[in-house]
Amino acid sequence: MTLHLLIHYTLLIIVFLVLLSLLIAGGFLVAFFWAVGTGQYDDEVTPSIRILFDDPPIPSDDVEP
Amino acid sequence: MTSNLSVPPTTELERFAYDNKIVQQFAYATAFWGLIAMSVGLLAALQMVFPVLNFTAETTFGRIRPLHTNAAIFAFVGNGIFMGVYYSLQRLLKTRMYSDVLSKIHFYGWQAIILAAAITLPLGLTTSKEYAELEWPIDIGIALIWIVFGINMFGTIMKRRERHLYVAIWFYIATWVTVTVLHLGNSMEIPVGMWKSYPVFAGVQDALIQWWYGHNAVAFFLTTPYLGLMYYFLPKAANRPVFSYRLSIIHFWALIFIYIWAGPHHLLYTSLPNWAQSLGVVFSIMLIAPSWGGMLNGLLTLRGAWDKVREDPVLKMMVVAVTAYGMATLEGPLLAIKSVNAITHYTDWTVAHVHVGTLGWNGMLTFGVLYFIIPRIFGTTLYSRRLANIHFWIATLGVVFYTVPLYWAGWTQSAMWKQFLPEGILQYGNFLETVDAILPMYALRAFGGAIYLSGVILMVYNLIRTTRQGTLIADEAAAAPPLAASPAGHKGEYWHRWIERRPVQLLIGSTIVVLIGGLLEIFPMVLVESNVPKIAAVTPYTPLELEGRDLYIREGCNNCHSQMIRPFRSETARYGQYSMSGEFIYDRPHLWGSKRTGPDLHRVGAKYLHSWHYRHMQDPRSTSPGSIMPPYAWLLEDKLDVSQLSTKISMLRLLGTPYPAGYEEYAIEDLRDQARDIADNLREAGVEDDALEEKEIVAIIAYLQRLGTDIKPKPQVQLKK
Amino acid sequence: MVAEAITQLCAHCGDRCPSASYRSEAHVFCCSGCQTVYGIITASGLTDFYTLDGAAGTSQRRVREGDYAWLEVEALATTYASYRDGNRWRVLLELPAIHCISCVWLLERLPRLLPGVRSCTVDITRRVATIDFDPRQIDLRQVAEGLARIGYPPVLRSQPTDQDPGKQRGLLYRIGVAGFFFGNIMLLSFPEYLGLGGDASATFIGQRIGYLLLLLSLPVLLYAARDFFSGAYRGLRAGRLTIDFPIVLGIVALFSRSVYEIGSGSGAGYLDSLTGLVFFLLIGRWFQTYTFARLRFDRDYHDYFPIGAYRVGAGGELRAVAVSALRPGDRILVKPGQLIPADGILEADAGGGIDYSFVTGEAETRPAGKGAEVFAGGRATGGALPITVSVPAAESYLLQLWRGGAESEPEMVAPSDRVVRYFTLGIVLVASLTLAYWYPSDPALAYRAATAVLIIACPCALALAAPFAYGTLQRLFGRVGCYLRSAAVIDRLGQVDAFAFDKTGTLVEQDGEAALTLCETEPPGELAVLLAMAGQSGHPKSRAIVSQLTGLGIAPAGIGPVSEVPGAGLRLSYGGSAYGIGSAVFCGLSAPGDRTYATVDGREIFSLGPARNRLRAGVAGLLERLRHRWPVYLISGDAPPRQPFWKDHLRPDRIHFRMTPFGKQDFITKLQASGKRVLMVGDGLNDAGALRTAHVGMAVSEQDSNFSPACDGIIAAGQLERLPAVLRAARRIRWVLAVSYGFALFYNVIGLSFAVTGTLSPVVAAILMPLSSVTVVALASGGSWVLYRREIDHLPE
Repeated sequence: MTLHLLIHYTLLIIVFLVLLSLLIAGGFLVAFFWAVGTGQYDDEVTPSIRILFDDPPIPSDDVEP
Repeated sequence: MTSNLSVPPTTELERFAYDNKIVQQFAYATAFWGLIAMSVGLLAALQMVFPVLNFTAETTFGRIRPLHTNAAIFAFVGNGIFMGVYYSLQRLLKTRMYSDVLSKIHFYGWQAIILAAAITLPLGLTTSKEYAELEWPIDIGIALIWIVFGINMFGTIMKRRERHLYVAIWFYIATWVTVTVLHLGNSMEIPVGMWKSYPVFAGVQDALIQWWYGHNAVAFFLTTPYLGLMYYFLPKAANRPVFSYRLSIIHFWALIFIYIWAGPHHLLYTSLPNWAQSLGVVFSIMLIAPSWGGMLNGLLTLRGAWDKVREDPVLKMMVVAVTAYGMATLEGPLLAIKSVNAITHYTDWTVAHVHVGTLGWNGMLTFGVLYFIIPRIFGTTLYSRRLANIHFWIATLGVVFYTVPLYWAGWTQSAMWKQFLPEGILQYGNFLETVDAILPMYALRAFGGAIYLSGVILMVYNLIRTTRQGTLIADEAAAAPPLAASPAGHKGEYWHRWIERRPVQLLIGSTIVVLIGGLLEIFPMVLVESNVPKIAAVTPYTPLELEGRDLYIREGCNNCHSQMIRPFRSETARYGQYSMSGEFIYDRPHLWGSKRTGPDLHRVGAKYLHSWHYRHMQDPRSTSPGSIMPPYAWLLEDKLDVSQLSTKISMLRLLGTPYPAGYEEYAIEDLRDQARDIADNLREAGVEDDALEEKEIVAIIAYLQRLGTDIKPKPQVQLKK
Repeated sequence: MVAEAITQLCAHCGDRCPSASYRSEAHVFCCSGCQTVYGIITASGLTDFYTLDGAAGTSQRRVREGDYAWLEVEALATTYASYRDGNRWRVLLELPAIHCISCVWLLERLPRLLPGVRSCTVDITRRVATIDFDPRQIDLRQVAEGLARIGYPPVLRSQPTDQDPGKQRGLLYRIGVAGFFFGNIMLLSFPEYLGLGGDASATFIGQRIGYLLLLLSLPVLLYAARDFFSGAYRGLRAGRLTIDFPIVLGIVALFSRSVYEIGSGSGAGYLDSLTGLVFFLLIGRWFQTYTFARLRFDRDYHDYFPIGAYRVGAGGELRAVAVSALRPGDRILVKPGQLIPADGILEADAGGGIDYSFVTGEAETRPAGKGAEVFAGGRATGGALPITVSVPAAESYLLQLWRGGAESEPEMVAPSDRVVRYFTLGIVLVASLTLAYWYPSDPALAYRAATAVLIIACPCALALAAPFAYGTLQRLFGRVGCYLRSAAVIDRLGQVDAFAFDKTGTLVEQDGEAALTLCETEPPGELAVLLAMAGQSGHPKSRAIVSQLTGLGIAPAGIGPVSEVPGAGLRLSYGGSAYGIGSAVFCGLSAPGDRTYATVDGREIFSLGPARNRLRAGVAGLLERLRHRWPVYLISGDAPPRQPFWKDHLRPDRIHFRMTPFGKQDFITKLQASGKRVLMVGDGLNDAGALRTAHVGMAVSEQDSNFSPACDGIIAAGQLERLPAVLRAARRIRWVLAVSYGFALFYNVIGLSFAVTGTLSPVVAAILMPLSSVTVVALASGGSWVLYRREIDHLPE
């Protein structure tokens, strides 16, 4: 009896952590859906190229009319 | 048409400026705290060879060690993360940070927290939970600042001008979310005073939460953000896209879906149920795959550019960093395998493993990023590429000199611990023999640390000269087209899909709801369950023992002494009956420890005379020649502060420790009685001190004599005779 | 001079410069096009374009110009807009010239080149750009022309591109869900297997975790695995046993068994095996969906035909309208050099006749007089043609070729129905035998054993082998410039036993740039006039001259109308001299045969030779190797040329000339009716019908940015000689499959030996099932890689 209680006592916290962990992971699953759904991964190459360019698409100094 | 081709339009593009000021501040903080953290580390390393270096109470190893770890993780790496995030996030999203005010609050707030840590830890104000030693007021501060950071980051993501979230950003997000949960989860504590609190969980539960946090702190504070940095700064430095962007995306999601799990492996062979242990093992092993995916992706990015690497110190640093990451992430899972863990746990092996990660992975990458960022935000080039290269070699050597001796030390000591004579008795019954054997390695390790530190000094000089030859571009002008109100194919469509895919949404949704429900249901149970004493023999600590225990925590004894005897013959023969989870139900916090620089203390109760402990604390080497333990003379001088006793008692009762109602009123009397007994006993042994009853030493002796005695006949009884 | 020129590389595209005639400052260019583009780019301070990635431009000599005038027609322009309001348009344009990092950099800085363009986002794999511009400042035509000017002429399709990357999303969702729950379920189940050390806690926690796992497996069962259920159902409806059926059988067995065990607390269930199975199968599908995103295998006439036409209004005024808007009875005007958009009746004599080479491949132009019937796809060579449309464009006679197009959805690789049938019957048989054997003695055990059979025999491996083997091979072929539209093509490729080749453009290389030889004295002024003259005519020769002269950097002079003598040549008196372009006779020269001359006052300025044809490199060897084992046919639309260079390569009775596109199609049909499985190799639109009819249709392409008709695969012109190697691999891949199946079977036998005896534990299943899948995948892909890489990469000497 005491043994059972003891185990119970010890394991509740594990169940607690398992659920908590699953919850976080689940949250990220939803994030994954968002990412795919909004076409974040439609192009799996160009973004990695784009980060290499830091210069603004127009020279920020020129102010010709 | 051709004519106006050459005329750049001035309309339609939004002009803005990247905030480099905040990047610079975090960069400076990174370098500065790096120096501090490593210097403190060096001091601690030297103390293990020359105990005389434990000058005062504030500088004893037990208080210095947490200072070192906290400074390294939260001050050095922490600021490093923020530096990298603030630099890359703005550029990846083509926008300035969401709010300069929040940025400033974040910066100064974080430095304040570090400062608070640097003051409180030496003063012995600690929760004793590894990497979470800071007391509750600071914990709250951390939570607040972390949330400020979160608002600032997500705000920036909201107002971004680049639709695609680069993989690095995903790693940043993961970092923020998980660290938030971990911090809150592990900091559930009830204050009993301004600088003292008790965790709501006790014993095994506390241990489990602590290491769930402990590992994930490593996973999500030292790893994921740095992976993000790697995915941004490595391609930038090499000026070529990452080897496979698709792989990096898979890397992230694979990691994030299962990484949160690998916690319990820190408690193998402890009184944690096998079930949880196996869980930890498997999770940890699973992690090799994604981790190596990331490492290879990083290294392969440089394929065909090794000539570049030979030239560029930044790339060199990053290559070593990524390699170290690979090694650490391979070693980690191996250490999580029970049979391996049986050998390495509690030894210096663990320390070496951790430092491959921090010195190799975090350190080197941070240096690389610093060498990359500083010249850029100061609109100049690195002052001396040569010095940087020297730094690279010094640092690499430092890592080698640091880790190799410790691996050796860990192995040697572990082997000695387990060495039996044919007669079936321990060959090295005296723990000290196993310590003396590895002192040379400790010395070497200190040397390794010293050269690594010297490298950092070199870097700081180099960077200062660099800043001198340029001027900070506080606001770097940039321009980008605004993110158009999305046409079909984006958000709108997404929500549309979300509705239209109802079955999935329901499934996922309900799953999550059920999980939350489970949590809400189980959380109170956890607390309630813990109200019930489980082993009849196990009784709450007496007031004096309780105070003694808090002294044990203040002095950080748990940094060198474990309180967890594993079920091995070698350990039971050395320390006695192995520990059982039922014995810890009143331990708030648990004090299992993770490293045995000194012997395990779980069964030390009633092993020695009071007087032995008295002399030992006064001067360890008087009772144990060759011991490297610091002396705790002040325990003999200082009076025990009992002002918080009644609060402690009532708080603990609130948390479920079965002190009778109203006990807090007369607990002080019990304390005095027990103190008197011990004092008398000491006097008999020839200790001369009129106010002995009042001294801290008495309390700590009381606690030590109680340790692990619940399942033995009560020691007090014997002593009275 | 010349020697130096050869060694110099074009500053824009990095090609070797044939002549050094184009230079600005220190730079040399291969053609005037490159020179112009270089000018524009540098003028806008975008020189990084060249520093980023060497001479990153696309040679302007290869860029295919398009006519963007039509884009002024609102109705047409709007079809390209994915989003549109008063001050913002968003269009998705195909830019086949995109090829490197620099392209991305340059194009995403389009706002610096084209005022009014807000942003330009490039997708380098699909070679498309999403362009966001302000219709008040710039219109689509100007955008398109601007792009063309910097060397990225957009390809306009009358049906705007449906480069829908979203197609993959459904699968991605499923993989994500399956992967997530598989990972977590496995992690939560393993401790069961490892931790059961008489540790009472394990059983305690086990039960509670069991229900959690059950919950977690639901999304996988009900969502991720959906396709398999529907697939099996569709199969059954059609009276077929598809591979999905045994899979569903396994899934159902796994799940129900798990529910029972967990519910009754008698075990941990097989949920990790279940989710793992689904995950692996989905990965298999994903591996198959691999396509060469930058290529298009499903082009039809829309991609080649003008998207607009000039309709003659009541008052005789011209209005540009969408071709799709043309109705019978409409009067349209087709300008010289333009394609006739729809069948109709000529209202005036066609000067130079009508050039049908575009659709039929015939070189000669057909004369056509007033009232003659003309067909869509013909090209006006003489003056502008007034035509009365008789049928809507979509129903034009010559376009019947493309009717239907190639199937849009690339088919999936799957084991043949026969295999599946035997397999399914097999496991059902074993299961029922097991049931029958145990039932008398121990009913409980009987059910356990029977379900175990269904579980362990699940054809995961069977379903994975083919996709991975073929998929790998498809990628291997891709490495050497042989791109298949889907892995499934390999299956058909392996069955081919007859070959039909088109001549021109396929076996025979046609460098259309006929040799233009200038005489010593060449006052540019005269060339400018001659260029202008040629410019007014739509005759193939004239067009050749125009491209050659502009290639030399000459700009046309402003001249009056040219008088064209149909089928003979052009005349013009300008600045007091008589200009003439045409045959020797026409120009009054006593020079030999088939060249075209340009004269001023009878003085020869230059002459143009006939387009040179020669056998492509390696083709001789190719034909050699093929014809020894299989019948090889040549089907060409041309007349038999003088020098019959293939005589010694092909049997005379298998050579057919003057084949109409329909003729080619019928030829293939007949051949296949006689039981042959034909591999048709062609290039032109005139082969489209044949390519579609053939068992496998392969299009030859000069470079992959080129257009090629609907087909099963595209092979780079230079790689034709690899065809035999490709075929051999496609044939032999079956052995790899056989071995993989063998292994799968082997695992199944082991598993079954546990199953039938009722001793199959979840652990065994959890180890055995992924193990077999992984081995098979490794074998299938690894095997085909190792076996065929060298063979395909290294050319036979």
